Amino acid sequence: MNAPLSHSASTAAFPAGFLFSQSNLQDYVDCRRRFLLRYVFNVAWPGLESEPALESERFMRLGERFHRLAQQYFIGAPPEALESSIREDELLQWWGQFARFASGLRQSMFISPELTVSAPLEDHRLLAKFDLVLMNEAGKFIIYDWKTARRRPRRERLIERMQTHVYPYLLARCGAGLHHGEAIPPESIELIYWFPEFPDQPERITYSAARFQADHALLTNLVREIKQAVGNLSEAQLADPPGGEAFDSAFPMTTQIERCAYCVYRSLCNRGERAGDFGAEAAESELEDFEVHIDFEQVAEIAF
Amino acid sequence: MGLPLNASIFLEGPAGSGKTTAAVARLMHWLELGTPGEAILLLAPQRTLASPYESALRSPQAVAGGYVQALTVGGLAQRMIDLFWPMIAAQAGFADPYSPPTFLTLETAQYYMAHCLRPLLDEGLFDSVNITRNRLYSQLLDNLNKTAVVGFPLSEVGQRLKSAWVGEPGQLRVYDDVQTAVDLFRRFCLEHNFLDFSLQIEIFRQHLWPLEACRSHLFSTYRHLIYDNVEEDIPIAHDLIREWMPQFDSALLIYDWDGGYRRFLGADPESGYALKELCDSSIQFETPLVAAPQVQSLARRLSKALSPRRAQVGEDEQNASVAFEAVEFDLHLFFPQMLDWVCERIEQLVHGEGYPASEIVVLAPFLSDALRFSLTERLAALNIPTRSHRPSRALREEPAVHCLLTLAVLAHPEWGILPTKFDVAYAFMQAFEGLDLVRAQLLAEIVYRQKDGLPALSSFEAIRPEVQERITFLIGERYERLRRWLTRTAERNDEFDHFLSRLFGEVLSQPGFGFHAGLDAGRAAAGLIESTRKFRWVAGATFDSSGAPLGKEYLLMVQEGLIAAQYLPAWQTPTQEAVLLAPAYTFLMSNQPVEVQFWLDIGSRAWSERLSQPLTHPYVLSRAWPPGRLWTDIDEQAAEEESLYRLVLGLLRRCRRKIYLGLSEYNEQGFEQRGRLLTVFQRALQSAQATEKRSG
Ligand code: SF4
Repeated sequence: MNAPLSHSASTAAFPAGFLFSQSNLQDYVDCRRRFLLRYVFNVAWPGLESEPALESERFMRLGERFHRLAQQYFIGAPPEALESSIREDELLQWWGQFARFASGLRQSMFISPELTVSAPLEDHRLLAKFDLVLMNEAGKFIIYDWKTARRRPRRERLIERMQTHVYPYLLARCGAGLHHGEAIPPESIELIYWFPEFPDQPERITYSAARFQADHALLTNLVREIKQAVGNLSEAQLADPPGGEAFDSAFPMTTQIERCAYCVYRSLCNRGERAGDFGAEAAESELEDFEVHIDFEQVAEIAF
Repeated sequence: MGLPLNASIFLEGPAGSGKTTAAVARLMHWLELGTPGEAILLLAPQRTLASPYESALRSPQAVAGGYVQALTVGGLAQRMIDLFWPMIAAQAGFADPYSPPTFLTLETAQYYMAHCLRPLLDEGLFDSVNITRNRLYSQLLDNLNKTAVVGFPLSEVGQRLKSAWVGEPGQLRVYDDVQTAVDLFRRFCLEHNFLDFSLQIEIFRQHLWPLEACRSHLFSTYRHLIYDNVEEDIPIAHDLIREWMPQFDSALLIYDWDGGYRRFLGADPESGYALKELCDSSIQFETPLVAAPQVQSLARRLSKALSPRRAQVGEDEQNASVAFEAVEFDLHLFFPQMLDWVCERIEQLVHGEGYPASEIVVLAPFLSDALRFSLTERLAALNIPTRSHRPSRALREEPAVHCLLTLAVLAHPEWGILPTKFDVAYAFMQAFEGLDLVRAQLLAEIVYRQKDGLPALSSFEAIRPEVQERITFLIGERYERLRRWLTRTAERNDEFDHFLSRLFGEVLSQPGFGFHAGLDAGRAAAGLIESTRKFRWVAGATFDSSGAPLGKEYLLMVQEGLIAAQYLPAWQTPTQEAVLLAPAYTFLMSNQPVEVQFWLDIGSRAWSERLSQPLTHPYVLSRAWPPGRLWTDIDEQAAEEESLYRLVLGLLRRCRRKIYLGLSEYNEQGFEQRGRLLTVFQRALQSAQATEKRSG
């Protein structure tokens, strides 16, 4: 969603209008250099993310299809029609689990699939796109996030993801519109990661005022830190991307070298030739954040 | 702002009178009062036109809440098809309603148009039409789009074109061929679940809009409407809003007088203006806020010269010279002299008078790559940066793309494509860091062979030692690494885009190779790989069943200019301090006023004449044109006058201070010229002089 940042030498400041999200913040947390390359210099670098490429792509597209089916289901498409459009066995199995699980949710008092919200943070905005938000009979607001990973990540791993901080925090800040103009108290918010591959093992994360405060501090500090690091880039650095050592202090490369196997910038950083194995355990944590994003405006729009 | 929140308002006025600024303020006000952002539909005919709203929504001043969606009607149609496909695919006539739809990009639509027509073209279809295949396909797609956006049956295209034709009778056969081609393409799309732009619009209109589930989803999701630049949108969008209006709690429609620049894409200002009658109230913003008084005065004078019936000269009749304070021109014999003059003036403005470069725009009716290059070079020599509506090279002309495709051909000798020696040398030069063209040619000369009509690369080891030394052992080592990699990887039978990604990541962008630190190479490679991936996703199944190599077909399409013809997005952001070089209509649709405009070559006919389009017709295929009426020279002339009137006014309303007119007796190609725009200026100038004389 972000436009490329200018790396003209005229300004070292972050451009107004840059949108922070769980995904770009996670990039920053995982590897400062990746953030620099992807969002400051907007470097397009088409290396493979994982191998075998076709299998990894097939899986990603299944994930996309699953998300679409879930959205179609919650906007009221007949389940039989949706089911008859599924050809792949794996997806059919996910769908079966989903349909059983989701039938009880359709009656919720308030329900909104694919809801995008944003709130000001420092002098930027933080944005999130929820797979589903609903309010149950007990008045709880639940954010569901569908995770189509083949392995179920450990709870600790999920808890430390930026998504776990950003989603409930943003719902607490933006919820008034969903709640007749009243703010949603953090205690009424829950985030559930639901895995079609492991339907009986959802991960529930409850929220509280204390966690809201902590997340506010965490996210504000992170955004400040990033802005400062970008602001400190010299004009010479900005004019001559992406270099190596010049960025080592503010935007160092990750010390967890195994990450690089699943990163497209591998060759730019001299961190290897071959992409990592899609089936390996490490792949799950590196690739779980596939952001399902189809830019509809790019496709078949009549060009002037 | 003070108007009730649940009102529907039609806000109209000339460009530059503050309408969009007011609409942005109203949007922000809605949000502050608690209107959920996700309940607001922000509609525009083209994404660039929504950018003032998007900038405001991205600012920290916008309150926390749901995100306001900016959409075009095309984007909305595609989303709805994607969501409700299982409920409409069968009744819409798709052969395989249980498989998902495939949305065609312009590139893939052109490809399939070519695919459908190839056998018929060989049999003589369109044999009397002398235009490139590329233009032929795009005009046919344009016809399909016109039927959808205007809303008449596809089966009537040929007949409508024929019934308006007054020239050579031979052309009537061409229109029959047009009908054959578009029918064939439509059948092909329905058979394969393909949706080009025209089919998306048609399916949305005919099957989704009447579908209860779709309507209730749209009506419950969007409660408020902001619709800017109504005059630039297609009639089918206006029809949709006409029916949708009663459902919105509030609406704000914004209409620019004298707009309609996208008419040749189907824009219909008249059907847009008719939406006014559905609004509770209408407001007019008449005071120009952008143009200085002298520019306004010039606009009035020129509009009188262009269209005496519409213009009012008004208060400055007595002081006619004011208008011409806003304009400066100089006559040159030849085109390059005019360019020199333009650049000198720009230098004076930037370095002498301190104008920001971003406040200057150089406009031409069409901006050829050669013209853009000349201007960029001249201004660079004067230390003035430029930016353009697009980079100077198409994707397929990028050196990195050339290199990747040449190496792909060498890795797949079975395709039987033979690159030239120079192609191979040029690819080597890109592939290896520090290799100059002379040594690249030497290397290619020795290692590149054609065996039994197939390309092959021999080993560096086999080269004589003294020549190895000349090429250098370092290059030799890298060459061997590349050669072995090509042989090994080709055996894996990867998908073409995966092959290219791997070639990029495992070899060419590794240390010692040419793409390692080259961001431009990375960007070009990314563009190519994305294009090949989309091509595979759309066309892959066709190739799987025929067993033909997709990579080879892709390459042939590149050679035909059908794909990889798009331009990579420019590096620069719009805020960059640089002079903008753009075609006049592109500048208008960016809707960003500037201090100073340069209009190049105002003697050129291209300022008023429309592009020659032998297979389609923007006016005849519009809603306003009664089927059966002949399109005569008088109509052509009236259309030219009308579009020049709108263009000139549109440009002046987006100019704060001054325009400079570049005039050369001979054009870029060396022909003498005397177009309508020049005549209009002369007429306005003479009338001003006469007025001055009269008033003493
Ligand atoms: S390759 Fe490694 S160091 Fe480089 S950006 Fe990626 S994760 Fe960071």
